[in-house]
Amino acid sequence: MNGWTKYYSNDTNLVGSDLDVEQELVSWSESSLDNMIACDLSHNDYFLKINGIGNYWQSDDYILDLSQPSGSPGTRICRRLQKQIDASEQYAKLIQHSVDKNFEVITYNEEQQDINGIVELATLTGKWLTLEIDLINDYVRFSILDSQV
Amino acid sequence: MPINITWSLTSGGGAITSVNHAAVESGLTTDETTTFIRHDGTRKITNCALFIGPKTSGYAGDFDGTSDYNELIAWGDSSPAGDFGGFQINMDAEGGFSGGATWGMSELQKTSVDGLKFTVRTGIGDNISNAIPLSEKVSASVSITGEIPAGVTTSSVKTRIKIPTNEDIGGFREFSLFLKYSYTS
Repeated sequence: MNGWTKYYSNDTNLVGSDLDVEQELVSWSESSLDNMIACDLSHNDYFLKINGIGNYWQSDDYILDLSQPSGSPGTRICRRLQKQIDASEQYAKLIQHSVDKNFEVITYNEEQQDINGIVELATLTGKWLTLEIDLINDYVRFSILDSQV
Repeated sequence: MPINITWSLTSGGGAITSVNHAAVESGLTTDETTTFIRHDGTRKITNCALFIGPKTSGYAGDFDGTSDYNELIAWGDSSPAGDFGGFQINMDAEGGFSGGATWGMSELQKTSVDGLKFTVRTGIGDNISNAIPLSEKVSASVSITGEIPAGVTTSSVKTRIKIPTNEDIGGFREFSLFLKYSYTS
């Protein structure tokens, strides 16, 4: 299933499949964004997940040629999952699981013994951990952006 | 849900799938065309930006899509006055698309001083990575660069093509104009 899943602190979750979103049965921005503890995003064989209490955001990028007929939604070129860095989060790490296209960002509030791949967040509070699937070039990008997209 | 984008020649007008800048002699500038961009999303679209590319399907010019694109970029890149030209975009709708006949651009000033008019060239609007963000001046209803709020039909840009004085090969050229944008359901 392509789409996102929101995980809440009361052990519930909300699934927003692309099909349900397309049929306007569910919406990212109109469903609860409060008390989220994690979120994942699936697209074909890609699976992205970010963990941690805080604010999350999901958006997609598109391009549209003027010559395409009216009514075209454009071509989706990027899928994005973001989490705003909370003051309690001191470190983050991107983990690529054994499945090639399965990526997860985990945040920590304590120093880690294994510092390989660790990003220090102390001066980045308020910025956004960002995981993106580049659908043109077929890869995943991890970055920290100043704002939600 | 995926939203639909509409390009039109008037605010809220019928959809277009091409813009004809019409024929013009070397050394002159084509007609200016105002193109409106709107969407049917219930939320704003963000990170809107324009770029061009070769026309890859349905090419109906006199050469080929890649040659036309490369030529257009080369015109924008050129510095000798006689070789300078190319596709130009004016995003100052709020200011009445100001800038006079040159839009404040020349072979020495390829982006206007006010940052609202652009000559497409290498690194500026020539591909998706270099897309030119839509200014907040594209409409009085827009206050943030790159945004088109839901329901706003007045966002518009003006475009034209300056033919270099030294261009001596006549014929119809074609290229593609793209909008890049972000959307949250």
